[in-house]
Amino acid sequence: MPERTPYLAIDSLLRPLRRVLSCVTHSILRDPRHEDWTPSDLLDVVLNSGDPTRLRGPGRIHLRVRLRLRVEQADPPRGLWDARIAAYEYRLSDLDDREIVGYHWHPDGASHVQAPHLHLGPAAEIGLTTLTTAHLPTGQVALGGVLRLAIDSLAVPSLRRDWDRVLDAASAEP
Amino acid sequence: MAITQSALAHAMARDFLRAAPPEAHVSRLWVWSQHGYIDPERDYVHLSVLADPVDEDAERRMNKALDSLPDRYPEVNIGASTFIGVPKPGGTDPREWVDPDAEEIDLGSE
Repeated sequence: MPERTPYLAIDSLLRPLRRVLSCVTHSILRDPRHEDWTPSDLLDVVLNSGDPTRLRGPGRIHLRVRLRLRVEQADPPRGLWDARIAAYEYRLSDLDDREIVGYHWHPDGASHVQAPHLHLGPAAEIGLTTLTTAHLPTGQVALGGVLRLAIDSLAVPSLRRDWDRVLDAASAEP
Repeated sequence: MAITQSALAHAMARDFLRAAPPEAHVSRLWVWSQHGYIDPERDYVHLSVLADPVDEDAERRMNKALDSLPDRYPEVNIGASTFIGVPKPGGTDPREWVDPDAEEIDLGSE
């Protein structure tokens, strides 16, 4: 939603992401900026500095979240600011940080695959080796959907009582 | 007696400043807090940090100081923004990018 300031635009995008993340972790989602960054650049957003975050539960599942945001100002006279997700990486890995699933979308990256896709990592143990290097098309994936997968299928406990409603509400957002 | 949100935010800022390496050259720090902002049952604290680390290692250790705060405050939701280097007009000037209601921490007294 367009906002009066860039701060508000970024916050209105990150607040629901922080809400869904709080269902499984208290690690910090941070937007780092360096001195040469300008609003014409994509803005990185990382959980736990981009390192895997250990989630609770018997499976010792790890979560990595990296996003890139596009922050834009509309033309005058109103000049409202808007922020939206321009790329993401949502990764679940096992106790040794071997990838189970990795949901990627990086349309501006170096990879020839620019559409949203899924990687099945070695810890998925699917047995069909050709699929472990494949980019499986997915369409846009919401972070809330990935966290629901962690709770429902990988025995990650939720940290808040209303997690089901929170993830449901966020499931339509990438 | 429960700690107030402002006191909680100041305590968190103090802990961060103690844990951050001097080489990170933290020059300004803002805190903003509200109960229920992320989870209706928890406080939320947002820290915005302006720093000019001497090198990548100092920056990494400063980030680790931030990332360790949830271990110390497991019942609090925490968010952060970091501004690295000397701000440039139209770029990372934090006055344009920090919540206008955030409270700036007096680094001399913390």
